Amino acid sequence: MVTDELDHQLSIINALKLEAQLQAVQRYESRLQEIEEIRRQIELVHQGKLSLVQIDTSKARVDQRIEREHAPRHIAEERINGTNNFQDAFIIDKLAHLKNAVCRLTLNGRGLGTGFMVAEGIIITNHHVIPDEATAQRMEVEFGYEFDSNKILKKADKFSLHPQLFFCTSSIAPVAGDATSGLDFTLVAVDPSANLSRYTVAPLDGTLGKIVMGELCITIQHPAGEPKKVVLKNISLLKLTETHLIYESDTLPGSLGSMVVGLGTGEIIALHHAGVPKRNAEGRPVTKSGAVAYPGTPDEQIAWEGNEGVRVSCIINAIEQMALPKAMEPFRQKVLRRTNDRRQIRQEAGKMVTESVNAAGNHKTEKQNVNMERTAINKSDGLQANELTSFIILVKNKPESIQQVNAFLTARYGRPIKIQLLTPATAIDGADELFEFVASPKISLSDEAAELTRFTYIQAAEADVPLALNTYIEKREGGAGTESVYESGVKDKVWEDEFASWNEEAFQKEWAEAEFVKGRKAHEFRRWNHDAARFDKLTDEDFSFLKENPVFIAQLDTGFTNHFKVVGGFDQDLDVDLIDNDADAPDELQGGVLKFPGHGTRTGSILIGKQPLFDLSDSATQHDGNYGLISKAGSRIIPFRIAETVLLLNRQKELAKAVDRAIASGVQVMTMSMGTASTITTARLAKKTYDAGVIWCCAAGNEVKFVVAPAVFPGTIAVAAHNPDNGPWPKSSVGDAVDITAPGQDVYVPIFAKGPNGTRLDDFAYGSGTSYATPHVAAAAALWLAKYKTELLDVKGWQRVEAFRTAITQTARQHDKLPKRGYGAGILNVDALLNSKKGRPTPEMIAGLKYAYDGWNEHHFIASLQGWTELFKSYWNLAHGGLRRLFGMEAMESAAATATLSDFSKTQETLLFGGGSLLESDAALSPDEAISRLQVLNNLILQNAKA
Amino acid sequence: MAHFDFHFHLLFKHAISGDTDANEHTDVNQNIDVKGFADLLDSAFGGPFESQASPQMVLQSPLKFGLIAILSVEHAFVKRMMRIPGFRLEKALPLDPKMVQQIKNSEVSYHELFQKQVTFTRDTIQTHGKDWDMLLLNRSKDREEPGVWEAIRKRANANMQDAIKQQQNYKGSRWFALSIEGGHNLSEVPIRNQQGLIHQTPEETLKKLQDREDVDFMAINLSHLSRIPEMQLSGFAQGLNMSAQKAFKSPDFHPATECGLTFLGKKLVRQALTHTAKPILIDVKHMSLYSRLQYYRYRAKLAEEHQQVAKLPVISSHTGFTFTTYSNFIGNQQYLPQVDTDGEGLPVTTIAAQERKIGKTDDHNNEDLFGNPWTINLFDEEIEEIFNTNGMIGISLDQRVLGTRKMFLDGKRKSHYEPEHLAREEYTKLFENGQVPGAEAVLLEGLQRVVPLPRERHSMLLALHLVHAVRVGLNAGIAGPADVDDPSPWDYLCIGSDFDGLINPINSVKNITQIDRLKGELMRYLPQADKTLPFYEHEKALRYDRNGTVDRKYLESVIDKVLSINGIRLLMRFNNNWGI
Repeated sequence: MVTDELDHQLSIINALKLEAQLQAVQRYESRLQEIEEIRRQIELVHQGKLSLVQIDTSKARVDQRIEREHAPRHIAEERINGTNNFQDAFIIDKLAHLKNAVCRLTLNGRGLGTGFMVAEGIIITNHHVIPDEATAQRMEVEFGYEFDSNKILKKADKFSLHPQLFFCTSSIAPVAGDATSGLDFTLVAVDPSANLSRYTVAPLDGTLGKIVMGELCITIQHPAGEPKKVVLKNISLLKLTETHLIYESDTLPGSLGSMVVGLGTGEIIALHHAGVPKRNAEGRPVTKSGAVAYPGTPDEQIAWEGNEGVRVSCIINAIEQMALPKAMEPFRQKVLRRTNDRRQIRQEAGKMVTESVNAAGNHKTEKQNVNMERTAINKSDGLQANELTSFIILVKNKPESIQQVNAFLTARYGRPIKIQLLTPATAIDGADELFEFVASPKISLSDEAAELTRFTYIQAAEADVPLALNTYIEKREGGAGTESVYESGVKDKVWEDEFASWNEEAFQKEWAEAEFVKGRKAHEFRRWNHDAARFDKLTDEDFSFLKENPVFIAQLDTGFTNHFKVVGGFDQDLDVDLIDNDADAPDELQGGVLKFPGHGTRTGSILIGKQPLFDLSDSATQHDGNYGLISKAGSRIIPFRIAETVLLLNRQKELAKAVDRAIASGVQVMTMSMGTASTITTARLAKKTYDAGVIWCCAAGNEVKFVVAPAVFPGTIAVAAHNPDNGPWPKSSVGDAVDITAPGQDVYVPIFAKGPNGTRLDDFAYGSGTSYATPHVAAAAALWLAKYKTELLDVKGWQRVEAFRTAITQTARQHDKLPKRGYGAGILNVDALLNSKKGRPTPEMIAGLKYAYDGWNEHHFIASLQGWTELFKSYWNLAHGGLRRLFGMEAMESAAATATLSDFSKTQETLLFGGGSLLESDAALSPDEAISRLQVLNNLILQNAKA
Repeated sequence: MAHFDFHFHLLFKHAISGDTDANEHTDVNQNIDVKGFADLLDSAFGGPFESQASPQMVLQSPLKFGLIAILSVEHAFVKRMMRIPGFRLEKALPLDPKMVQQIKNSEVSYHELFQKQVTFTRDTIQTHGKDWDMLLLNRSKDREEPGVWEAIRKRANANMQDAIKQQQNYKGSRWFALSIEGGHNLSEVPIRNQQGLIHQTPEETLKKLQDREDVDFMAINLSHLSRIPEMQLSGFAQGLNMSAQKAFKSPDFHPATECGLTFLGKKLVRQALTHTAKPILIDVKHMSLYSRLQYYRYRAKLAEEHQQVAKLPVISSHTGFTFTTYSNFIGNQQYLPQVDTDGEGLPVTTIAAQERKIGKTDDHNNEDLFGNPWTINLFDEEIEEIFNTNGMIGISLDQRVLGTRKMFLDGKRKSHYEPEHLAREEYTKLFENGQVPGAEAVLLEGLQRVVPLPRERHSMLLALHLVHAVRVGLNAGIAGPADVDDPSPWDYLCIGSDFDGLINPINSVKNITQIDRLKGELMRYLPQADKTLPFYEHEKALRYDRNGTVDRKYLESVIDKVLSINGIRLLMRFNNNWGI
């Protein structure tokens, strides 16, 4: 009986197999010409005359395949081509994982075919192995039927199948009118009580780009029911039809149901289902010896010339469309999950930002209906190819690698090139470090950067092009029909010269009921920021530590002016001007476009602004009032001038030099009220600073909603802004990267007002920005480092930064008006920081600290940044250029050279946002749209770091 | 005469040889003796490895007073020691190979190594002090055993007064103070650690040393010969020349990335100078010109806040001179600059200074004498600055510091001296933009055969240095300290041999036992130097009668001052804590 049943089943399978084979032969023959052409091209690839990606005629597939490499196009192509024979080792893990999903299907102990688990408790095999539910009922699935390394069979697990729970199948031959037919697959549920924990799931991914023509694939199978085998021998993909793919192989004698995996991506590309035998003149299959084969001829004797598998994308499509009982729906969804995840990844990237912003509450994006003219500014790279440009590259800091790179670049550009360390003072021997060199590439800068990374010793590359700086500029309608200006000099007319004006009336009107304004006199509410962050609670003793143990604070900004508020507060003996190599770093005070007089003065005043000389309580006419948070300690700050204006970071190199010099000189706190796009350089600098134990307080960002660089990186302290009523500043960037929130909306800062005959008067105004929030945290850091100097003596490197982060977050002040999400731990509370147990860096606290870069994959992040950088920078500059244009300012001229997006970036843009390239088109793109796209891109890049 | 040496290394070679971990050093009563191939190297390179001032040599010498410099071996020395096939330099040299590995592999901090040397030096002198009749000065307040330190100070004062008076017949003990050569000795993070850790609190480390009772330090150099990325205090000047590069082949001996006195450096200077019980002087030797100028300014600023700082002299313990002002050198660009990038990604900035003739000998085939124009040597403004602080300059006995360049026919030079490296930013600021802020010599001479020079060349160089400094002082109207007999700029000068500091000593004085030769050499060459030095010729360093004959008594008195009295007086001031 048992034998009869088996024989019966075998005969059915054989008949079906022949049917499948027939189908395969038909398809094969109809495409023979194309297949032969691809074979010829593959031969050319082997001879190094052709690139694999050139074989494939589908641009979309090639692009998506490239995207899966998470690497710049040229690196990706190289990997795919296999000319660079290295593949990341994780592919082995991936394959091992897949292997454990493969099972064999047995009837009465006899192996009849292969299958694999595509979702928890669901396996897939060919239709001709399990044609119907009744067969499934009788069959068993066996996992782990394979040899161990001693060639002894492992202990396998057998389970029964439960088609009543879930079963769906697609016939071998297409049935007219049924789009889900003709794919030769069956999905069936395994006994739900089965313990499958030893085995893995190999989910099906229905999206494209898992393999391109000519690329290699491997199979995992139970050939003729034998213990599990893998075929690692060269199997090239020859042809994709709408439903099937055909590969070159003579080693797959009808291994029904085996898993076919793209070697480049480690993704399942097909369900193997039939071989294409060689045929004689009459079309009869022949054996290897040339004899005519018969239906009973064992597979291994038949001469095979190709094999056919069912495309995973088609299987997924079919599963989606199949009519199934409602009870089976959850199973279907399980099978589709991977595909849906991948399909949604882009949309989700966008959504996440919006959600987090919405969750953060009461944010309303003002509709900016001004159409933004498309000007050259939106071209990220800003500079034309062929111009002399600085490139920053990531290379191992070893003489051998440097020499290799020098030789490579010298050959590439035809003149001697020696790369130079970007941060020579803090460079570590043997570590990955940033280097720079200057060249005039013949292709676009980002293509060139991508080209550079093809060289083994260059891990990442970017052109050092001007980047917009994220600093907030707000135009605000004041009372009584007059325009008043918050953050200085933003009003069009005002902007043309360097002046702004006092705006307390507007401030009072808006914040009359606010906690830190109501019932207070002007000289009191002008320093509301002290009260909000609890600096008002500090005693002389709290300041005495800092007085006795000066902490060096570097301000990375535009330099300083001689506004009376800050005179003497900048340590001019030490300042470092990285722009002009001048002795001091004074703001040039050039009004008008591109200049933003006094940004460094204003942010600096929050730290070191002088205390008013007179008692201001009765003097309503005096405008003075606010003063520096650590002025009482006699502190001064060291200006590192990294930008000429708050609008533009001309060179990342200058930021790098500042960071390098600051760390090497023993600066303990850096405050940076400027942000920019995530770049390879800023990412590396943030990590370097963190590892060295320097606390880098960074503005979370304004307007764009997501946290900008360098605040976004794990190593920095990211600061969001709140208002005089403990509520959020609506324009503050928010997100998981934010550590703490500090006063930033309508903070009273020094400006220059217009005096008679165009003279300049020292005056004050209320301004907003995370720019102003940031120095609060720097001040707290200085006080904390000084107070706990002894406790921190043996705390080195990143632990110093992490201890501070822990201390400020644990002592943060909570307020109902501040949303729980997106604003870090709450509002800075310096009193609790210095005077409560939670702020104290005890040995227990230190022992519990976690390295911020655990869970952050720097390698992936850089690779992902490398791939997206051009598009990201383009949208970044576009969004910022747009913001500024809204306020009557013109484009950033230095970035205004015309350059075009590389094809790669255009493709990315289209893939991501649909339609043609907007950056390239003449259609107007609103700043909102630019920002929302920027958010999508930002999240995409960050996701890779966390993956 | 009871000689004084402002800078030498009594036990350095012993401290770094043997099994330092097990505290099993080469016997301190034995000299370090290099054998085999290393001996060959030693003689080829000019003898830096043989002992020059070991305890036994000191005992045989008239050296009675001085400063013992303590330092840990820098990473640059062990990074890539010369590789000759089949031969490993670090094994042949008197160096503990285990320690070399520790330094190479970031397994230890400079401060740990330094502490070991301090302990070793202290214990050795304590153990053998009686036999050697050698003591260490110490300003510590008595805490545990009342009266002990006080008694030592009294005894030292008495001995030193005696030595100044008796000179030739001094029979008292040997008294030494300790100094810290190089800020790196204070770094508490692992040497060249891969995590990028910076030692952010060198001032605390120094304070711990200052608060110690068992030892006392008179001075510290902020930098030494190489780059210390884990704790930069100030820029350093290139000290090693190209042939040394061949042996130790490391770009770290080239200033490249430093920039002046750092924030860490300022914190350290503040701590060093404002500690009331035991302030430590800053020895400007090895600092870059830019950093030195910044230091002078910073010290002046600090003196406004802290009165005691004004009492603390500026010193340079083992230097040479450039024989010009930096205003002239930079203002008239007496050098050829070159700016490049090296093959290891570091900026390379070099200047080749014009050769500067500073005197003549009677050897007509080889008559001209030249100084060493490298900016590690002091400029005239600085000599004046140091004199004005009641300071002290120790002239090195390293022939390269003094100006010797070639083994033979050194009197024939091309237009420019061997280029030296400067840190890029310091070069840009000072040399290109003329912003005044607020090489030590050569370890190894190259593998060519040694042809001895007429020994007087080196002595003449030494004499020219002394005369030059005095003339600079006279020209600036420096009167000399108020509390000495016949005050003059001569009161600010002494000898800082740098023996056992891996130097190539002047031919006339190969090691400390020969230091008494100096008096004779100077008697002979100071008058010649005063005659031939072409700078400030209107000022004469010596005194002459109407016929132009040298005042011999005066000559003898200034030589006594330089070789002995000045230094002893400085030690007395130290012993009495600078009158604070």
